Amino acid sequence: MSTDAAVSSTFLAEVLETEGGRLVLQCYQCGTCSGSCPVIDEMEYGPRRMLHMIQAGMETEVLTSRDMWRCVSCYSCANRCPRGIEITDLMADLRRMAGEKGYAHDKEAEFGQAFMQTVQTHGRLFEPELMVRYYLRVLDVAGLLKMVPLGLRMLAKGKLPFLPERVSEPREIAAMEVVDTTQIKIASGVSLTGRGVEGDRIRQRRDPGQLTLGVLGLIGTALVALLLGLLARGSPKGMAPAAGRGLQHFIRGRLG
Amino acid sequence: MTVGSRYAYYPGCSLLSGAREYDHSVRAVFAHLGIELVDLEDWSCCGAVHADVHNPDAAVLLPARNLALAEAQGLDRVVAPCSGCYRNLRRAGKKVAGDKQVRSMVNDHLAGARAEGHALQLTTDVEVLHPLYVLLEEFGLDRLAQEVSHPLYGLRVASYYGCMLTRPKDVFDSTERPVGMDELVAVLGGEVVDYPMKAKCCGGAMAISHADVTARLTGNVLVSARDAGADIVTLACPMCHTALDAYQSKAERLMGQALDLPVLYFTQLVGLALGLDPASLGFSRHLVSPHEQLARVGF
Amino acid sequence: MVDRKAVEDSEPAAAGRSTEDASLAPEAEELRIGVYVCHCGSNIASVITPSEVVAYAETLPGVAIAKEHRYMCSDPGQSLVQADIKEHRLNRIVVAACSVAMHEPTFRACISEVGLNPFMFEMANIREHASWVHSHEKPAALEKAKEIVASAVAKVSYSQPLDMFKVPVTRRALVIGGGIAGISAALDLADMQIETYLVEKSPTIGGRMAQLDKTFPTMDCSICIEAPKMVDVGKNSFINLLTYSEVREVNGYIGNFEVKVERKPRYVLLDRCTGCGLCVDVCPIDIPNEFEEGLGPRKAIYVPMAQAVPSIYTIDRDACIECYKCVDACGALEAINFAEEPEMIDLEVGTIIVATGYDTWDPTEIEEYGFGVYDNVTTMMEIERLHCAGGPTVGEFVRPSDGTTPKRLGLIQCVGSRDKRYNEYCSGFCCMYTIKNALLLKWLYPEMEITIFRIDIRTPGKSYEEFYERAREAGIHFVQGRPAEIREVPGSKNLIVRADNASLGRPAEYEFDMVGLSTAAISSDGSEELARVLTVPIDTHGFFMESHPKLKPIDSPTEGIYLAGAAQGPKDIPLSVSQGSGAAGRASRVLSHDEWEIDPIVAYVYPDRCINARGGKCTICYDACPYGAIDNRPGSGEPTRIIPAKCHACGTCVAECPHNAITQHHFTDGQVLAQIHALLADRPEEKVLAFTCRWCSGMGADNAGVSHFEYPANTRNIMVMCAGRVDRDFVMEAFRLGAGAVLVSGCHPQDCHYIDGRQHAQVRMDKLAVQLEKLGISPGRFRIESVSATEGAKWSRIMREMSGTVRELGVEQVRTENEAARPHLARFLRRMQEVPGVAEVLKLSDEARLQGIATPIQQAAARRPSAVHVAGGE
Repeated sequence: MSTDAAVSSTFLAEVLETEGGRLVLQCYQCGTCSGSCPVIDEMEYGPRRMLHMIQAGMETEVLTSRDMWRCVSCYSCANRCPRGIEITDLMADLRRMAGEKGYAHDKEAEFGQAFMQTVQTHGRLFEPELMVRYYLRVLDVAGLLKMVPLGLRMLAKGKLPFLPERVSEPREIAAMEVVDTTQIKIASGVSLTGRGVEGDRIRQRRDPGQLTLGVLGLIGTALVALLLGLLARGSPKGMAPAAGRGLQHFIRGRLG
Repeated sequence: MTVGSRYAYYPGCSLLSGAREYDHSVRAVFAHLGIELVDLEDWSCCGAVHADVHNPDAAVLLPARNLALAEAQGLDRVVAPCSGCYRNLRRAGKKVAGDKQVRSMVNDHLAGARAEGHALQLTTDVEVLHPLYVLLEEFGLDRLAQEVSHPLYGLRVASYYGCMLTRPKDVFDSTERPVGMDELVAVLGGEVVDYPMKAKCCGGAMAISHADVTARLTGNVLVSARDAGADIVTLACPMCHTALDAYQSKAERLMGQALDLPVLYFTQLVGLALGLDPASLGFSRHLVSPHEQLARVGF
Repeated sequence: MVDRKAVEDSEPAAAGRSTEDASLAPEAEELRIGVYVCHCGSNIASVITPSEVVAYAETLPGVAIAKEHRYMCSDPGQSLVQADIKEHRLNRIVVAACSVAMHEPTFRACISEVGLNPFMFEMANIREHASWVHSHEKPAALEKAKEIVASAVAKVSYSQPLDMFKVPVTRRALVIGGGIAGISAALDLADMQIETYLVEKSPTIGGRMAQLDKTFPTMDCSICIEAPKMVDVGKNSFINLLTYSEVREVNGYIGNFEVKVERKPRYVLLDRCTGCGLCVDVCPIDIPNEFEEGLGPRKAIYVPMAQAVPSIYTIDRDACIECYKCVDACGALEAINFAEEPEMIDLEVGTIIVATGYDTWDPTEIEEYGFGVYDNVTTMMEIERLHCAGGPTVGEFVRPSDGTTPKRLGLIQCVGSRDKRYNEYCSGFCCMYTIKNALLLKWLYPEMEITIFRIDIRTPGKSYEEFYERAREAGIHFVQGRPAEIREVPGSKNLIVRADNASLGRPAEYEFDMVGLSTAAISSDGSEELARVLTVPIDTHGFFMESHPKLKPIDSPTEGIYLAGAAQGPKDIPLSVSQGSGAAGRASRVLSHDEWEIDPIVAYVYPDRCINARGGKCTICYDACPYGAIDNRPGSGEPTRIIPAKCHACGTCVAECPHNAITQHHFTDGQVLAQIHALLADRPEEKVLAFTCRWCSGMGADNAGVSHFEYPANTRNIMVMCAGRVDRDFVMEAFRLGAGAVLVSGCHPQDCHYIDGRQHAQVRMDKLAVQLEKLGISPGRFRIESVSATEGAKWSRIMREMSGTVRELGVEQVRTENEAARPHLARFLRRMQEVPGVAEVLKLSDEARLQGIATPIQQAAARRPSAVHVAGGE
């Protein structure tokens, strides 16, 4: 760990203690990382500027930015960095720090949480549950609806499992503390389009129970399949969004 | 390289469902070649890119548990077909092998997870290999060439490496201009199509949360392959496959052009070339059907 | 001329006796030690009463006289010593005063003036180490001063007369490498009428400078200013030019190097070839010319460039098809001889200068830049040749793929430099040469758009920043952003450079017709092998290592071998020339003498104790020595020998040898142990025993004194030359005797005056620390620390901490721990008993203990012929 440096910013000191941020002081702003990043146009700053902001101790700007949530972990930056800074791993560390400090409101943050909750429950991934958990978190009905055609096609090709596969003792995975079970932080005020509203207060919410999820999942999938199957028989296009709004009401009602 | 005749087989979560054809084709090809795959019992998820959302150690713990399972089964090599799983498991294995403190952290944790005497432990060095490199390095292309009975003559194949297979830098291939899969394609008789985006990210990690990003990155890759004259794309990762195959229509819409570029797992191609029954290789499970392109070259 | 055989061995020729046993034999010369206690005005006297120290000194065995004086270093003080030596037949002197760094040379000179060997002297530092730091503990300071004197007496009792080694000097110089640095050195040496050999591995001298078009910042034509010097070298009667030759073997030492040079066969006779070039016209073979970076051809029979010195052709047999057309063309001159064999030439020289220059790094490894894959990505040296009027395109700057002149040129800095993946360092001159190339091209092709991609711009030399200004004024673009990747446009073969433009705050893509890469400068091919042959160390980046980065940047650590030019690290022409002249100066320092003196405190291997003498294959001492001073022949049945002229006297090999087969003159194991015993004779459990090196940590301890950083007086010092000398046995013996705490201190590892002695000490002591902890010695009782010469405060702090540790634990606890450890330590130390001179010291000590005598050295006195004690006083 890079503990030789005496830094006044606690944020910088914290980053220096992480695996990815160990060498962050070495960055001489050459820009190779940002030049290599395939998703830099999706980001606010890009890795180069993020590294400088970390060096400058700008915790809020760094952790509230969407940059690390857009990182696709392609390792192009880390592979080319002339200082050997593990930027990809640093992005993962920033995601974790943002999550722990309550800054995480991006859909990708919710996805990561949903993913690990599912893994924790079964020891292996179970896509339908992951989807249900995810969409319940983000309440992104429009996004969900956009996925339905693809989901149906995949279902038809047998690419979606109906029953979860499990390890013999899922609590072995739970013991690895892959999710923060004490409280689940999400941003409140999720809009219809699923994008989080910035700077919201943190609301505690209990994770939907296992059985609830399973039941909801099955009912939801069945209903959607049924509804759209009906609609597909020559109905005008406009009925799909209407059905969507109805569905939204339905789900909101269930959760109260 | 010594040829290991027995490998533990770690399918990973995707191969059970979305990438079942990959699982089937790996098993079929390896069985045909006489490489024994022993199912890893009670394997668990490698954590993908989300393992350390909360606990930084989980990025090592989750994969390491599987390596300990291999050790418990008396195996010291694990084959992981999914590039993401491969990278995670291999990286964790190297970390444990290279740092005593990491090893004891892992073993302390594993010891606490089960009753005394039954605990999993990772005391040996377990090597993790991608099936592509098992074929290239351990089995050898020369040997493979001898087994080819139905060469893929006329099939123009663009090999897609993605990110996790070659990065961060490892011993097998270049990170910028990898050639392993291309060499394999050449040995199978296919026509190698080189193109600039072969090792660029497909964006598969964002497929659910930011599908438009995936569509754009995937589109760039597919357009590049198509412009270089490829009939089909072959790859070695189920996440990339989902992006390039299942999201191809989204990419087409975004790029404003039709692509019609089937995406196959390299083991499916190997299976074809070895003369395995095409029906058993799972081509019908792809969203972009390869049947036309394959028929054109006699399959 | 001193008999050379005598100096092959590190046994002092003049003294002619063995170092250890003589003084211990009962019939040896009696000890007649004179002890002088200085007042140093009131510096010492105000804290420590000199007369009490004198009285104590008189009781020490072997002390014939003990006196005090206000200023020992003054003329009267020195005269007193000299008079006493003559009158009282004193054969050893101890002066209790200040630091060795202050006045050791003074008193050594003083006593040698009256015929006493200067090494029969010991300094007892009771000022920096006592009066100046314990002024608040006067009684304890006095006790400490007494024990310091006892320690000095103990050591000097076993000192032997040593004479400086004198080696003859061969007044000839060797310069390896014929680039501008080597040329400068050779010409300066020749001006001093020193016969000089200049060995160059390629067929011509000139090096990299000859490949350049113009030089920055003056834009001189490079070969125009270099060629006259090359011609001078060729014509100079004092310079023997050996081109197409390589140094294969070097033996010997400063003043006396025996060098074997292999002259590779040219197959063209030097004394017959006139350089007419008719052979080239008929040669059917074309191969890439290395001088042109492969961009232009040469024949199998060739000169690398038009201005070659010597202007003699060479046949590249690998390319030659032996058609013999050249032989025909040569005709009556008969200058070609295919039967030529390599020739081994033996040279005897006094000094060697290494000026082997640099190579340019191959950027193929940076795959994202596409060098070697894309036709139009080139290196800067290739660009240099392309716009040079003497180059492969006669100065017309064209791009490789289609021979057209690029309209848009991109130049990328720091390719392979400042990069942890390849070469971590900055290559220093590339910013300047890229700016130079850009300016040149802008002058030749005003319409050309040139963009330089950089991380920083480094222009430190004289007029360099102004040069950079000119480039900007000429319209050359600068982008702050290191390119991430380069792609090729199919068809046009243009290049797209993608870089994050920091000034714009976002990535951008730029299309160029051609791209040039500023690649790193690396040490030239063959450096590693040459370093091995010369026994000169190379640094972590492959460049030859200098003796001291600030004060001796041209000396290599091996005496008599000097460095010049880029061989020592990337540098530009003015610096290379400066270093060439500098190296010639350093070399002539030696060559202007008939004899060269070498410090005799070197290591010495007991031939009968070295395991290699019994067929062993041990290389431990050889591996430990960074100076190549050890002639080690594992498996040959011959014992290892130290080459005194190369030995720098760190003592690391002495401590490393697992068979205790090596000793160091003037710092023998027996002497150090005698000091340990003297200092720990009384109440050892309360004491902190510190080993310091002669350099950083010793001076750091002195600095604490100079600055009056007080610390407790229960601390004692023993000085050796380097922390690397501190044997594990010393530390274990200290604990066996009951020490409260032990410190091993040295320079900071990167400052070690003996390159890596401190690092060896660290490894050795870390292992020992683990063992001691297992034996129950509390951590904190044994430490290894780095203290620089300015860190007096740190020294004081460490002393206070360790003293505190000892006091907190308390005598009882310390004693208990030591008792528990003692049997084990005694077992480990059994081997030490075999070391010549040690057994006697230990026996005396143990017997004294049994009899409860406080000062064991008194026991030794009882055994010796009685000395005449003269009462103290003026």
